[in-house]
Amino acid sequence: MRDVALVDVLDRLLGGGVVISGEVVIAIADVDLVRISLRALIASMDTCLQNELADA
Amino acid sequence: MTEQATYLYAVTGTPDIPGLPGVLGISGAPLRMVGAEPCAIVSSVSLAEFSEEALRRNLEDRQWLEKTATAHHQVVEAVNDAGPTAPVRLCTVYRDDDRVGEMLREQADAFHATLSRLAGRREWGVQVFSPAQPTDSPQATDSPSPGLAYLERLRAQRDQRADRDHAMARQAENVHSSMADIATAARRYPPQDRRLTGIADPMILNAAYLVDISLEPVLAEHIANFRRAGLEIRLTGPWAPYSFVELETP
Repeated sequence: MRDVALVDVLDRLLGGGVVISGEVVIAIADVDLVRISLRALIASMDTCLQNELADA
Repeated sequence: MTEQATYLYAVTGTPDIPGLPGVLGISGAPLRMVGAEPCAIVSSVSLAEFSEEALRRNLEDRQWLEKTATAHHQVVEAVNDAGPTAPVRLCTVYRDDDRVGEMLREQADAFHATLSRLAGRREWGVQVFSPAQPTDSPQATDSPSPGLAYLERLRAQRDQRADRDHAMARQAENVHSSMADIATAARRYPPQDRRLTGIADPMILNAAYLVDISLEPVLAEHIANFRRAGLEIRLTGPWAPYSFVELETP
């Protein structure tokens, strides 16, 4: 991947992009993707920070 | 063999995509095309991995999310390099290729309209950060009582903060309106959490602009001017036009 931040990609992949309704098995409308994913990201960042602090 | 479904990455005007053979989809799956004009880029995924229940769990898993988003983004980039492309939102999954084909036929006019609006334009991301806040130093007051002095100090600090917040908000609006002036379309995202940006200063603007390629030098000049004026600005892109592909319903 070109040098881009995951969080910038996620803004677009979860908040942008064509949303197509109809014969889909799963789509954004079914799951609150943005909320769930960002929560996961932030939680994992916190874990990283805590690990770094613990290592320091 | 596990049950398969069709994952949709992007829709583009033509199946002639030179960069596509060098790219793989999610879980390393080979890419396929469905339809011709417009044409959808898809791959097979395991239905078990993309059921609603599995997805709720997987989206909480940073590694899964990163790997899936990266694969999706790489496919979109390769397709977008070949011409105007409408990226599809993450995790859009169809029962099979035939369902994708049906959708393309139903939405063909809307896709053509969207794709023709994107020709000759690129998406840029602009983020503005609030400069480091000076720490409030308690001001001496001539209040007769320490309690009153304390309250006055609190109020002064609160007023200072409110003034700074207003000034920041004005600057963010300033940047946004001068970008929006040269853009065909503008879109704002919520400012990102500090823990995700890795920048200590809070983000006060997180926006995307669809800009004519001919106007990109003007965009660069605006950014340079704002930086010279002391603003901390991040410019990202060019992006595939993720933020500007809402299908117009005919």
